[in-house]
Amino acid sequence: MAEAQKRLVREYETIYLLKADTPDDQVEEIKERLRAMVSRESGKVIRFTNQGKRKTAFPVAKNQKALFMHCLYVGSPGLVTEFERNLKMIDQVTKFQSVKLADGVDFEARAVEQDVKVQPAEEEARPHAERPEFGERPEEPFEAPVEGEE
Amino acid sequence: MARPDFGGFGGKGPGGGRFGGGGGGGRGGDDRGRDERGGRGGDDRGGDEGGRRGFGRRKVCRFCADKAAKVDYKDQGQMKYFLTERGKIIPRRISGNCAKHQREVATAVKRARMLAILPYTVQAG
Repeated sequence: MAEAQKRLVREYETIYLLKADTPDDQVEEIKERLRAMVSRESGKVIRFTNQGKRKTAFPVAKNQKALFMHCLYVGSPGLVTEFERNLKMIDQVTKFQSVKLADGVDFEARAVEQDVKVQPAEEEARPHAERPEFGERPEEPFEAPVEGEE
Repeated sequence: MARPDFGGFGGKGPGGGRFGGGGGGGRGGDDRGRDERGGRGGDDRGGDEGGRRGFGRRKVCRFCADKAAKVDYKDQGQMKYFLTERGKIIPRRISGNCAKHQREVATAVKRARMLAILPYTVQAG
């Protein structure tokens, strides 16, 4: 009987990229706005993680840097659509992606955590030097095995 | 994958060791490619020295070896290990991943690309 009372929801994470020149108070404002939206849709934000300004692998919105934000939340499937719709309306958001992490999470049992701010890892000066194992490999050795099978 | 039962033989064992050693020291990636080929060729020829080459070094899936390790598309450092310099995904044959984890890695790399954590292509230069 007790199980019938449990409210099972799904756990999602969304990473969204903000323009690098976004001031801190606006970052907070966007955070609170999303948090309010999630609770309105009867979901719950577990935590926001500010992953800091990082260099992107390619220019995003004509910018080499972006502020990475990570949001972990639980809720019903429709919540994701709503979350992404809200992100689209915020001009500072340049990219976002949502991923489902788990099914059948107990809504009450999942505790809300503190927001985290992690410092971005230092830009490594030598991006490929640390992989000698693969670095020296010739680019296209892949077709070769066919000969052996004949 | 081929005939581990022969590997225990006195005559064969040192042979494998010698070839593996001569084949190229630490560079696992290249070695691996050649090993596989040698192994398959050896089946036809019936176990001559060529087919024996380099069984001394077998790669294991790093995610199977370390149960705690999870494929995480947010972890740039970890993902980089599965990319070539040009930004291509390294094949299973070379990375040594098991099928399941290679699938996870591939998905993770693609996710990371969408978020501009990893590049789609890298220009030669």
